[in-house]
Amino acid sequence: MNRERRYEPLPHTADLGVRVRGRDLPELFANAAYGLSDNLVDLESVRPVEERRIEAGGDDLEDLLVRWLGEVLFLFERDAFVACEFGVVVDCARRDAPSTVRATLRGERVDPARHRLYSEIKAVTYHGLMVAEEPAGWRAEVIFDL
Amino acid sequence: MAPPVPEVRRIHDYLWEIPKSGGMRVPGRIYADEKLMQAIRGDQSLQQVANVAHLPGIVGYSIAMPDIHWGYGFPIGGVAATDPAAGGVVSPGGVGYDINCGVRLATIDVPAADVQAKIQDVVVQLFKHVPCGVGSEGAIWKLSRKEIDDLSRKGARWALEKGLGTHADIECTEEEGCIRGADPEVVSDRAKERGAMQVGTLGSGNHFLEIQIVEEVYLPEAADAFGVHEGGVTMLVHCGSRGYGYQVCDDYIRVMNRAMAKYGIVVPDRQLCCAPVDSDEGREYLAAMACAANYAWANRQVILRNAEKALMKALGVSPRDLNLRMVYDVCHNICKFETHTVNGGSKQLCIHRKGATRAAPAVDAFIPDRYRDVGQPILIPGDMGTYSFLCVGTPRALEETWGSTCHGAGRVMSRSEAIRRGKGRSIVDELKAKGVTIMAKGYRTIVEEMPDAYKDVADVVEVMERAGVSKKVARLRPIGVIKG
Repeated sequence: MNRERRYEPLPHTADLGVRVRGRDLPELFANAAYGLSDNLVDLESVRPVEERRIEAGGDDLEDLLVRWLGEVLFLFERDAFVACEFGVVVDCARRDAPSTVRATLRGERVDPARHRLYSEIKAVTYHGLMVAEEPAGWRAEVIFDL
Repeated sequence: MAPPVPEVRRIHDYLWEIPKSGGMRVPGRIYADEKLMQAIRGDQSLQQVANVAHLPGIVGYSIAMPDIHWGYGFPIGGVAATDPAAGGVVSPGGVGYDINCGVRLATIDVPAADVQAKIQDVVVQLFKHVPCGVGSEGAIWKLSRKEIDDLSRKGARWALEKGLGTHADIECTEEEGCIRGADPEVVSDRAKERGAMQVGTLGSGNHFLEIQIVEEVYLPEAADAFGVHEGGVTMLVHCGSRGYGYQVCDDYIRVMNRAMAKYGIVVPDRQLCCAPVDSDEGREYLAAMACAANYAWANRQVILRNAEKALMKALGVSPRDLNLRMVYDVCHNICKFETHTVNGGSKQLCIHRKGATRAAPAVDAFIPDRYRDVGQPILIPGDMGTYSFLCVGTPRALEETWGSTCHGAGRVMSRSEAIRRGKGRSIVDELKAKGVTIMAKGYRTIVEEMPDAYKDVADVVEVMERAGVSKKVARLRPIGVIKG
């Protein structure tokens, strides 16, 4: 999927929102992580040369999405690691029950000399959070506090 | 479908009321003029003001400042006091993610002409000494667990102990740079990990560090007392508790969400998640919030003294000749226990200020001795290219707004809209033409933060002046800015 279609920005005055779609939950979660990361660093300049594994758990599917993105953000903040490829496995039997996500991220450490840096993201919020099934798969919307 | 805009009636030219209806426990009160009210009606912040009025134990009014805009649960630019003795609640959304985001103002004694002549070097050195933006690491060192716990208990005093400040700095800081009751035991490891690497950094978004010239003085006596004079040079720092605070808010939003059912609290918006002040969850949040607030004060203290080094280097002056002196430091995202008069008697209330600044009048016990005859300095930052204001509190603030006033300008335009409007323009050149030299780390920062994207802070400050809540003391014009 080309970059422009992996996420769309949502109009928001003060912060940053993204809308993502996926044929299944792993693709949805991967695209959401892509949308988050592409607003920290221009992912076009990022090479998938290093791997990291992360996981997250949530009380329900929406909570899981927020926690997952929180882990991606934390990895970026703590290790200056930014990923452009996400191999995601979502374990979610019911959307209103606790579930988990595990992923392999491929990317590299941020290098100000090569990478185009954008703005810090303070947090992944629950505001306007939405994860919905559609005929073609899934759609989600999430807002980041800038 | 968006909920209907609540009914609003005019109290006077600068004050409006949302009458109590439905589950509102108190009315809403909005400080605004006719023009600002148009903008406010447009973005659902009025509904948020009405929602906040549903909180258990809320006292007086759900108050909104003229720079109000839509936020998470609580609007940004809001004040809400709850009575702990009457089951009053505390809500992390009423403080915000950036706990103790605040502003610090200092003066320097180098003549404006000298600073102006070297402004490019000044900005370059500031950019080196105060890391900002994505991927910036601490300006001092990465703290150990023990050190960061120590910092969170001591606040600005921690920086003093490291040789980064004076007692005068502490005296001129709200709460003397430390809220009591901070308990690092209730702060998550993740918050500490995030904060440990970021001490002395500025962040990004609307955070900034500016060198300014005092362009106009409105109240000479107050300006004198604050050590500010027309044509003088000042430095303004705007930033908060960094990843430490963001994580504390994040953690406790989850805690509060789970606690709501336990205490039988029902609110119209899930993001008004809260718990009684007098509960384990409430107490723990307040103790963690205090840690984050203290982190922010320590951080602004470190930044101040690192910026001092930058200025000495760029201007080629000694610390004595620079004579960097604090005017004051205020927070605008906080929750504090304060004693106020309610129905003729004294009550200790839990005051949430989210995008609102304390505005204490003369004689108030909370302000430094040297300002006792005048009142508390209030620092209102504008956007990166226009002006900021130094104001002072009034007795009317205590009567009407729990001693609070506005905090800044507020955005009116989304970042993507700003990027669209910025195409084909060089905002850096436009700012240069206005006499502002800027350096920013983020590739899109300058265009996203363009002056057009913000309300005019002068309008906001004027409303509070006319409402008698805070008074303008001086207007400060930026000449050099660094941003993340």
